[in-house]
Amino acid sequence: MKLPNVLLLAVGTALFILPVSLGLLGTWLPALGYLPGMSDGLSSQPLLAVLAHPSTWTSVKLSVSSALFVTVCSLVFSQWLCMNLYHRRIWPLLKHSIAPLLAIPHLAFAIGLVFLISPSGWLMRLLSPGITGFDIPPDWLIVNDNYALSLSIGLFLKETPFLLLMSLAAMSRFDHGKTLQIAATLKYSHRQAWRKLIFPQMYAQLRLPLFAVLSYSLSVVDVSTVLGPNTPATFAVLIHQWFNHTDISYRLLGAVGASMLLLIVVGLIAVFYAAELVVKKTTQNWLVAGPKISPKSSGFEVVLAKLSLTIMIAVTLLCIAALAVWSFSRLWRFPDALPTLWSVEYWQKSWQQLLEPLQNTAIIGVSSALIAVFICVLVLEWQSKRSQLPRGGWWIWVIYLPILVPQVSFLFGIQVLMVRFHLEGTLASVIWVHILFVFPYAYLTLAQVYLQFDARYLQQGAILCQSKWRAFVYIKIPMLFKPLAFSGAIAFAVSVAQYLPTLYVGAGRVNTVTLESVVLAGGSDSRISAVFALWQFILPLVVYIAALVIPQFVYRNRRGL
Amino acid sequence: MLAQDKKIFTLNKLQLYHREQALFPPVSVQLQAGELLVVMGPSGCGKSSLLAAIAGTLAPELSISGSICLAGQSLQALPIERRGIGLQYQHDLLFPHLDVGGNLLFAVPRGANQQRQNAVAQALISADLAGFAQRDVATLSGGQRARVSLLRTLLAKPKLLLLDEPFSRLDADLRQDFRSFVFEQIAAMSIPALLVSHDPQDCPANHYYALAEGKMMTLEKL
Repeated sequence: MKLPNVLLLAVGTALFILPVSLGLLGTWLPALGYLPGMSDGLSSQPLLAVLAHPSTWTSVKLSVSSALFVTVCSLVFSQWLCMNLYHRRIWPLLKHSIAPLLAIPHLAFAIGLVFLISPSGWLMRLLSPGITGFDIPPDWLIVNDNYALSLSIGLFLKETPFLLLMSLAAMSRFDHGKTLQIAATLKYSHRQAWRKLIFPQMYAQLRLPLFAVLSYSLSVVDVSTVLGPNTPATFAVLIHQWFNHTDISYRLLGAVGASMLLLIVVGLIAVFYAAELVVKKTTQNWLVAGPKISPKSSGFEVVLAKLSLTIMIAVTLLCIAALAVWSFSRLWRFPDALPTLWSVEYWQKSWQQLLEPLQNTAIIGVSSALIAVFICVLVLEWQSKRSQLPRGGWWIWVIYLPILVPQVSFLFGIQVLMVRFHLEGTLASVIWVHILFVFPYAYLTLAQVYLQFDARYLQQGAILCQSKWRAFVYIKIPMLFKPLAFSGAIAFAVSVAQYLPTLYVGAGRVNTVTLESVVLAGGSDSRISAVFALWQFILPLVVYIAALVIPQFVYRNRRGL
Repeated sequence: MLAQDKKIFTLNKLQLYHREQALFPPVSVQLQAGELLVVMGPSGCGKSSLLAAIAGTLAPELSISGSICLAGQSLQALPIERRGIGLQYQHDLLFPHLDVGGNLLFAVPRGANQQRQNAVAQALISADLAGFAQRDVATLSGGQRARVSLLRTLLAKPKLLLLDEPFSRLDADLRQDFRSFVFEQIAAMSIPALLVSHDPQDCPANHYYALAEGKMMTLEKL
């Protein structure tokens, strides 16, 4: 009985800790000047080259400032929305808008945002020439601006729903409703109670997701290529450019940059921890200073919160709408609000280009999602058998590891190893690397429901079926079908969205819709770019809908499920 | 007349409705300072909703008729935080990010720091918990948690105490202990209290208000 448990733990380690560590090592050694076949001895040359490179510091500054902006703003904004909209009539809208907002892939959203806000974008077309007086698009740098503002805003709009989802999950971990009632009877206003009681209890659950947002915004490459600055690019993109430089000696620079980026992430996480400690220390007295008879709130802030939520949802919908309009347009001259000629030509054209990437995306997505959910069930089943669940602490960090470590910081190392053992460029290896990033999300969506499953059902089942295994298959799995399907859908969506892992491990031979979208986003034809971005959105959407509809159909006569 | 003034809490023909359907017969009761009324009834008869109506936390799908008066003031129009009511649930709801002292201090009205600290220290002594101020609430026993929770409610100086099955989560001997603690505190504070329960042992006197029947009843001794 003991042996399989240890084995499972070992498999987990081998699946996640080992690849990440090997990848990191395979990046650190070249950073120190050791890359077999290129340079053998340790040297500080690459490090010095990176430090002396004219783009390095501007890039780092851009990345750090935009990542901090995104992390802090999406945290503050999501908490502010929760505080002001909780139990208002708009609250269900907030709850229900999160999943669709999250379902839109970052990249498709970014491309849609470009079509919306760029100088020749939809907004400008709607305002021109009537309000702006422009007959040709103005020569403004709105997207790809030098301060990474459009990148920051794009990421902020995408990360806020994620933190909202995490906040709702955190709120479900304690009785927030009764806590607010108690606070009210102790004469606290809703806002005071939220700040002093609800947020401090939520933050412990929000910490890791917040770090994930931080790491993601620091290290994102695909969205940054579309929305971010070019001269120079953000640091992650610069590293990516070094890795792919025609002069292969630049790979050493890339390795140094990748290691620096990891240090920056670790450093900023340390800063967040320190800030948390300082805030805890300085608010100690304020927390227990007693209720203040506050003047009745004017409700202005609530109105503002409602408006902000509406705008956030509207902008996201407009991005998708912009993609849709472009994809069906044939001729769309600048100040016109809508195309003058419509056509499905580009959708038809996309089929010829799309068949292979579409197939690849589907195969990789479905396989990695199925395998990831399967491993999740194994791990969770093992966890649910223990009385002492390794829930918090080190275990959750292991799960989060592939999300917290910037992809660009260890994918190069994995690529080097794969090339060395001739494993690169196959579907199987791409599926393997996707599992690494897909698993954490599958696990995090499934864990709570799975571990809360009432073991008595299983005991009853085991008694009736005379077999634990059959009880598991006929009782537990069907009862958990809904969350399992949802977790699989999330996993599929995460897989579809992967850019760097596919690129580095696929070695250019495994093309997916996402890779194609990035290439086309840099091209000159908006119409084909819009079609591909929409495909990137449609694939996960179809799977999400299937994951919602199929269980509902199967259990249409079962209200208890 | 004087006797009438002492009745500081009155419910007059109070009824709750769910989709036009009354949950229980009209409730008319009067309580004076230090008086405890136990409300009993089968589960689902609206005991908790009655407390929620008084506290101001009633679910929006329930409607209300009749009147609730505390110290000569109608409560219906007031938000929860202005009703001056203490609410005690079966779950202690201690705030896990604050220590014992912090949880208590949280409830003490604003004022001079020293005075507030003294109030907390006094309260802890009264509950045999002197020296517990710095303790993490997660390290307390069930009985200790229950007492801290009640102290917190009382430190806010409520004019009426509502108790929603406060003993049901405690095991038998702790329950007896905490019960006498609650009754002592109510007497010491000299405020009216309404206790909702389904356990006859929760009645300090022999009578209780039967919500489903709509009248006072006397416990039948076995």
